[in-house]
Amino acid sequence: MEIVSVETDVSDGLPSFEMVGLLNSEVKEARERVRSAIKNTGFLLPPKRITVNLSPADIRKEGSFFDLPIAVSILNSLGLINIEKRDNGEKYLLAGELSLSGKVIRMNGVLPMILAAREQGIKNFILPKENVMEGAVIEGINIYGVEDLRDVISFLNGGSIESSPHIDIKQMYDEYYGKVGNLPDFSEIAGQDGVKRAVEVAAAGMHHMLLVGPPGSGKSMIAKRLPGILPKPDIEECMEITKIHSIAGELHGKAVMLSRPFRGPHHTITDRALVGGGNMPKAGEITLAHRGVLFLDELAEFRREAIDALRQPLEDKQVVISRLGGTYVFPSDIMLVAATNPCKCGYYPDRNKCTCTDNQVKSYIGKISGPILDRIDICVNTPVVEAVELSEKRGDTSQTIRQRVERARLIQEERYKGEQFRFNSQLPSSYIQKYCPLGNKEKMIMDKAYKSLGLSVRAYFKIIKVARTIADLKGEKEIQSSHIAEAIGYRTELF
Amino acid sequence: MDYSKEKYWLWMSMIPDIWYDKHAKLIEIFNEPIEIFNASRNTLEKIGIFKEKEIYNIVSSREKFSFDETVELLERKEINFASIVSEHYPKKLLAYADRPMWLYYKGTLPRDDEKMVGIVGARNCSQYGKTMAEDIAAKLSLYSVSVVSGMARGIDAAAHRGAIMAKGKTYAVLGSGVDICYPRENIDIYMEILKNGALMSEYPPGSQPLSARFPLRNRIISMLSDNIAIIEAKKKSGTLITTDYALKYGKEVFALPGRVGDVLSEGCNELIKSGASLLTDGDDMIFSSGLYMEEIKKKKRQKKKLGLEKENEVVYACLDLLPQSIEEIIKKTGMTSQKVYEVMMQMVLDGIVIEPARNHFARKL
Repeated sequence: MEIVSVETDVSDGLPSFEMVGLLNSEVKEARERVRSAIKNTGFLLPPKRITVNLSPADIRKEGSFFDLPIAVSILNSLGLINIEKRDNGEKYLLAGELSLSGKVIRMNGVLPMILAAREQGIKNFILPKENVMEGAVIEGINIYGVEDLRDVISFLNGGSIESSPHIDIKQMYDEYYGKVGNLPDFSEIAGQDGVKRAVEVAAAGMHHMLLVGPPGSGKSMIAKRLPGILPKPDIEECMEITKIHSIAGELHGKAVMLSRPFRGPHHTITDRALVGGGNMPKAGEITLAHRGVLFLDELAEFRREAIDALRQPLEDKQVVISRLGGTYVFPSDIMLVAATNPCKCGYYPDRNKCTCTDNQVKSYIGKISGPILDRIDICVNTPVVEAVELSEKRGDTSQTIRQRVERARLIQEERYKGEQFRFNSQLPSSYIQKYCPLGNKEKMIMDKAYKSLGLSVRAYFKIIKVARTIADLKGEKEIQSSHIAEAIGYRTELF
Repeated sequence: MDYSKEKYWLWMSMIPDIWYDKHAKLIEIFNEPIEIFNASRNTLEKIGIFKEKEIYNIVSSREKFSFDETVELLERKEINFASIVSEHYPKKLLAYADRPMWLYYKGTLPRDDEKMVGIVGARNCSQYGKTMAEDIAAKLSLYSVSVVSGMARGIDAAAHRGAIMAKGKTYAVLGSGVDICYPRENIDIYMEILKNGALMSEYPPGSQPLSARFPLRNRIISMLSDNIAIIEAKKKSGTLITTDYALKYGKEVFALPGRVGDVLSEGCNELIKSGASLLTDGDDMIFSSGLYMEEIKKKKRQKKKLGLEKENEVVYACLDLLPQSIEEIIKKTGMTSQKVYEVMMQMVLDGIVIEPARNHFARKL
């Protein structure tokens, strides 16, 4: 990111208003907004030749936030602002879009902009009032939130605006995690003990998972609660998540994202919207879900291209988009949770409700892309909850589950110290012998399962990885036969 | 095989789009197929039951028919043909007015004194139906009773499989030509039946599995069987056509009961209510229906001693023939989900429990 400076020259000649400096169309349009905003703030643009230059001139400028600096630059060269009056020698960074009436409107990407500017020694920022919260967590800077052009003029002429309050991110973080109930909680789900257990295992080993079940069995309810049982993000991770959301304009007035994101795009999404792309590449849903959960409901209904586009990002934990102007890298370290009905009508194997033929059931599940199923380690069925259960006792809270998950994660971190991978799910099959040695009894069970269930080699390794996670959850050093038996129950080969 | 005596029977069977009732009518009038072959168009029209198209089919098929080519085709495809005048034609069928005039078959046709039971039911059946069909067919096989069915998906296939697994004889009456395996996924059954039983059809080789042909093959299943077992049927089910035929031919109908409210058992329960015999075990068909007049010394299968560990026993006791989701089992046993998963998978691997759908488990009989 580079700081752009705006300069204006007003000279005699035919009246005109020109802007130069490799501008995108939205920047070019600033001319009309600035002209009206200045007029409606009560100043008159003189009939002179006005030239605005945005330098460095060899970088393409895009975005609507150049409105404010352009307006200020013009007003300055007309002598309406006397910048010298403002704290001698201090540099100010201005950004914001103008409305025709002179209002300063919110913009996207404030947080990364401030961070980049701070590195270049700028400490003072004049930003739209709606955006000041995004910068509030950064230490050692002053942010002045402005509502309209008039505010800016009076401030630069020596008036005063209160610098926005600084927020102590640590304190906020502790406060947030000190109280319960700010996220949907697992204890709100009645019954479904088997599913909850599978979800816990998935979270502990960062295994991607697939929920299969009839409509109304709580697939999305369970998925939505997953971010709450993943280990707490540390402050660094929070900042990373916040930056991504700031650029995408998804912060909605929040200063910082303290919880892991949950993204659940609709199944009609295009491949570009899912993984990112476009002429000037933008982050997709998978990047917005970075360090959190990407939930694909109705997996079988997604476009094949969209699902296939997920393969590389899931493997590499980043999306790489190459354009003539450069290569863009977006992070995509996510936990994938997918959900699907077991058949077209959704009720298989309940033959009282399901009227699908065996072939229809097979072809429905067969619509799910094979390569994506390969990347999913855990598959579990979510049955419909009966009314009686709804009044029964609830299970563990998300916090309790999270503590168990965190413990299992710690064991994995310890074990994979110095390796390229962090979680059991990332364990390459060449390392399985090293980190997941099996005893005789365990080997026998695996052999039996391999033969009688007709497992593939890939499934065989997936089962061992999941068994490793189950052992870690129990705090056991060795994988035991019971861990393997449970892992077999989660296998992903649907038929 | 020598078909020279049956040359015109063979021709007759190949006339397209003429059904069995009209075959019977033709034979009634002309006595011998050769007479039909030689009959003038005018004579055929005078009978008054044939449509323009059908007469055209009869006449034009005479020109197309080549005896040598047909025999060569049958031999190449290893298909046999037996008309009612053939010594191979099952004597059992001769007693019925609407018997098929001929059978194409692969494999070996049943002996005249062979005891046979028809097992039929829904295509989209439940696991309960599948398990029971398999078990009953296997039981019958132990008593050397053959199983007749239609090789359709679901119950039919399960019945054949049960007989095959118990090394019993089984016969499939198809709604297509015997050279076509429909549905395709039953190719294993198709191949096995050839070894120990027969595939039969009244339609010539190459006939497609048209929906109109299936109800008619049900009548042959009924004719061949001494008793009929209805495993699962909805209230309005094609399976009940078989029942109607069975009643018409005076066969005893057995029906497998189901829970009230299970859609797939409504038809069966209805049958029981109106007088069908209650079927809970293969033995029912053997001893209560006169299949065997005296009880043979029971060749009872060894009751499986499971010898399970205690907690496995608890879980096993919660299972039945209908698949239950793991959540239900967790609730019934009160064990933790880990434990239940662990026990279930061990029992699946030991082959005493099956997992017909994801995380749903049922007992294996």
